[in-house]
Amino acid sequence: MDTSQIQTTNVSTVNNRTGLKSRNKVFKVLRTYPMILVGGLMVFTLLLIAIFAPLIATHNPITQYPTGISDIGAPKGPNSEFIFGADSIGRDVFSRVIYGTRVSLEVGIFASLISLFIGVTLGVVSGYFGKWVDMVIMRITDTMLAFPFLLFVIALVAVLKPSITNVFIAIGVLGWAMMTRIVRGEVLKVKELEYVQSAKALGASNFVIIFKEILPNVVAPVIVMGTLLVGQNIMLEAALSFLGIGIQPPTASWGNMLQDGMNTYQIAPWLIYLPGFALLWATLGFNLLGDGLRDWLDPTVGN
Amino acid sequence: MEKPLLDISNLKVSFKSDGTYLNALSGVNLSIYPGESVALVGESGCGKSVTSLSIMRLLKANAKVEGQISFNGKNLLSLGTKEMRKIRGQDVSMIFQEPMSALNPVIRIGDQIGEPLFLHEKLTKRQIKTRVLELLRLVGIARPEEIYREYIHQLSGGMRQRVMIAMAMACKPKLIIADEPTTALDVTVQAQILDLLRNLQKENNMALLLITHDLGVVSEMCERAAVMYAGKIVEESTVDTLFNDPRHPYTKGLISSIPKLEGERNRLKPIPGNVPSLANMPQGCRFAPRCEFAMEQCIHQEPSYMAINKKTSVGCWLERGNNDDRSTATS
Amino acid sequence: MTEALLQVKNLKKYFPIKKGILQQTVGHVKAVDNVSFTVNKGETIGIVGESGCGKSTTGKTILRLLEPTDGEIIYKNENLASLSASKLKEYRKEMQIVFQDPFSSLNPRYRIGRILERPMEIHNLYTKKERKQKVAEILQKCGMDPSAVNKFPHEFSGGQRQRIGIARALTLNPNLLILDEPVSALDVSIQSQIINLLEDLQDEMDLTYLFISHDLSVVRHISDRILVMYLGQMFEMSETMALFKEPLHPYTRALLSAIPVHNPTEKRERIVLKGDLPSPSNPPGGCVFHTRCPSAMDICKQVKPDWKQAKDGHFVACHLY
Repeated sequence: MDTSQIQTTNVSTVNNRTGLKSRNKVFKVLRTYPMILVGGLMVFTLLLIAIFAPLIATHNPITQYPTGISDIGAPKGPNSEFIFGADSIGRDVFSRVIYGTRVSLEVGIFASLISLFIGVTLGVVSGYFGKWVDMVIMRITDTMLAFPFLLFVIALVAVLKPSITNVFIAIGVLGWAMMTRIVRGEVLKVKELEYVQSAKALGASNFVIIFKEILPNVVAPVIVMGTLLVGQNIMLEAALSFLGIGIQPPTASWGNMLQDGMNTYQIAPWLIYLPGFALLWATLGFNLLGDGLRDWLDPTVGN
Repeated sequence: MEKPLLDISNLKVSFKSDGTYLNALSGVNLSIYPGESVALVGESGCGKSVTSLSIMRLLKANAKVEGQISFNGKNLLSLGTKEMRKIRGQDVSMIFQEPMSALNPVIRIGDQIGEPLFLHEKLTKRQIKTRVLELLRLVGIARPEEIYREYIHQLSGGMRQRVMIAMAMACKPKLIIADEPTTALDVTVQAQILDLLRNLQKENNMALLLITHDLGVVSEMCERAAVMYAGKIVEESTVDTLFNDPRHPYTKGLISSIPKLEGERNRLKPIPGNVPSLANMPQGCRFAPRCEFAMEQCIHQEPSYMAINKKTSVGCWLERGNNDDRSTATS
Repeated sequence: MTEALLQVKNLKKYFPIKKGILQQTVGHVKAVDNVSFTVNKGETIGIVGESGCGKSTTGKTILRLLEPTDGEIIYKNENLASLSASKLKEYRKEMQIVFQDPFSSLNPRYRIGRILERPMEIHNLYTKKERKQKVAEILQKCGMDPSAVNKFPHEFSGGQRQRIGIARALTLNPNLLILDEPVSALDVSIQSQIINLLEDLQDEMDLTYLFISHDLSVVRHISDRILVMYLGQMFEMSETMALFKEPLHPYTRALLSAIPVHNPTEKRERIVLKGDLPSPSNPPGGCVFHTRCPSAMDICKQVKPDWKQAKDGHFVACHLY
């Protein structure tokens, strides 16, 4: 027994270095998974833009500037005053895209949090308790996945009246099905593991087992799925606003700006360049980040 | 004496990980003669499976292999992919521990066993079927016609291993490498499979390289055995001598740490400590930190592996003095 | 006089076989069928058998990690099989389990300190400081350095993790430890370290063991009495040395003769069983072993043999006796 103690101390001297290494570890992860770095930076710029929107924006996003419209009533293209041009009623496109970032992130993130909360709760309950509870929840999930999602959201937003809050509530409340499935799968896997069995043998209650033994081990897939969901929800909000049932003018959103631009893109194409690019940037950023996190956290996927 | 069928000399394998190379094998020497059964024994991580995979050239791309493996006079390590493919399955075939992952679940058993015949012997469909049925009967499968059409998941563990043996036997190889063939099986089934393997080997005069951690299996199956520790062979001898007169402290430790099936129940005498990791190999003799006979010399200098008599070779400083037969010694 | 610690009476655990969209029960797998035995204080009972014989299920059902289908588990004059969850919690302190796989038995997200304090937390025992002290003590007892508390499970080798698993089972000072294949996943040189540790702990802490394993040499080494199981049923139970010296049941004989002998000079006669284990969902009638038994008689196909005492303290279920 003595010798094995010596062995343990040997191991501990080796592992003491980990404290020193923790900063290096971050760099190593970023180097091995460049998608996390790229996606992360893209998402980070969006967050900065959303937070500092009033400082970045050159104009008030909802003021209609007479100087933005030409003499014949057409929107002015990019010039020294409006660097990305003005829209059909004289608002500054650049500032509207900057403020639109706030709307997109708000809807994307909050809707995802709602889906995440519902999805994790149902997934854990379904996976852990099994039997008829599982049966009921999974059949509801199947039904949700079978419905045309966009139509469902449109119907709900129409009932709730369009507003930023209602849009993210509608998207969030309806978008949990995939999350439920993923969490349930993870729980089914983890709950059979012996450390969960041994917690049960020690007399731990279901509550303790779920929160202390199971949940910490499903966090990784939830983070990955949550990140991907944000990108997806930003796209969805844009689609709703584009269809005119999402964020209502004059509030700026990338979707309603694209809609606005669609009518006049032949004479004023600058109206769709920047919001389109912003949308691409945001969804690409969140997807890269999500995929990168998955590669890092889940060694069974990819290499 | 005749020429060895397989001659591994100074085999070194390292794996690239995080930019550095970790040595999984550091100089393995082993010869197998035609018709002989040799065991490679050791604990997990000692490199016994890496040795078998390097013979078959089945190591992953991040492995660096040095040394020589000559089979029937050909150096396997310098063969082209095509020539190597000819050897695999035809001259050398392999039996794995887990038939469920080594056999394809969506191909019928008959077609799967027939595959090496199709690849190497260019037989017609009908000839292949007759041969496959023969093979199934050979490995003791009672209703070969039915099994021929079934899938691997429909069989029990023991039956699966029989199918795998039938496949390995298909082209009458000169050497069979069996990597822990019975580890996943229950004792009574293990006894059946070992019996089968031994009879087939004797009847067909094949050489067998058996890789295992179970000393019991070694003593039942093999004539000679090599004990591996941390990427090196530390002792090699005939099985009788190895069990009755083990020389290396590691071999002694292994034998004395297993509970006996006969006689008094005495307290076990374990080998202290743990197996060193590849990244943290001790200098000098790799077993020295766990060895009760370790001397000053053992910590600093690695002992050379040498023959101490006609039967036994060992890599230990203690054996330097007791060289039974100096004339055969090489260092 | 020996004092009974645990009595298992006619324990049954059936798993339903479900089929179809509506998941109707079409049959049962009798994983544990009518198992009864008594565990005396301070002894080690070994349960052996091949995979699917129900030995692990027996262990888990005794702890009610699986709900028993029928039968009694008598501990301190209380039938654990019918206790409510809240009452059962009190008894859980006194019976613990150590699992086979040292890699999945420790939660990878927590440091060893947390893992070992958790049992005391669950039962609201001791103050924080006392818990830490207790953890250090128990680690030392299990041959680990107390500095292990700050590390995560992945930083340890299999043998060390198994020591930690044993330490966790001991934090609540149990009387009975169910050891479910505790050394099967370990290398031989580490196996013997753990076996010696278990023997030391038994003496030191006055423990009773139920040692479940498929490895007959390990069971022979550690057990006082051995129970042999096959397809969920008890085949033979006896004092260890008597069982190895003179196995009565044809299955036990075959099992013992199948173990590869470690000494090549000593060749024994081997009884090789025909065929495979029958499907547990559809076991043969009469004696479940008759399809593979070398000495099967006509009666074995029809009548299930009774559990009877063939010799002093040597029980067997076979028509030969």
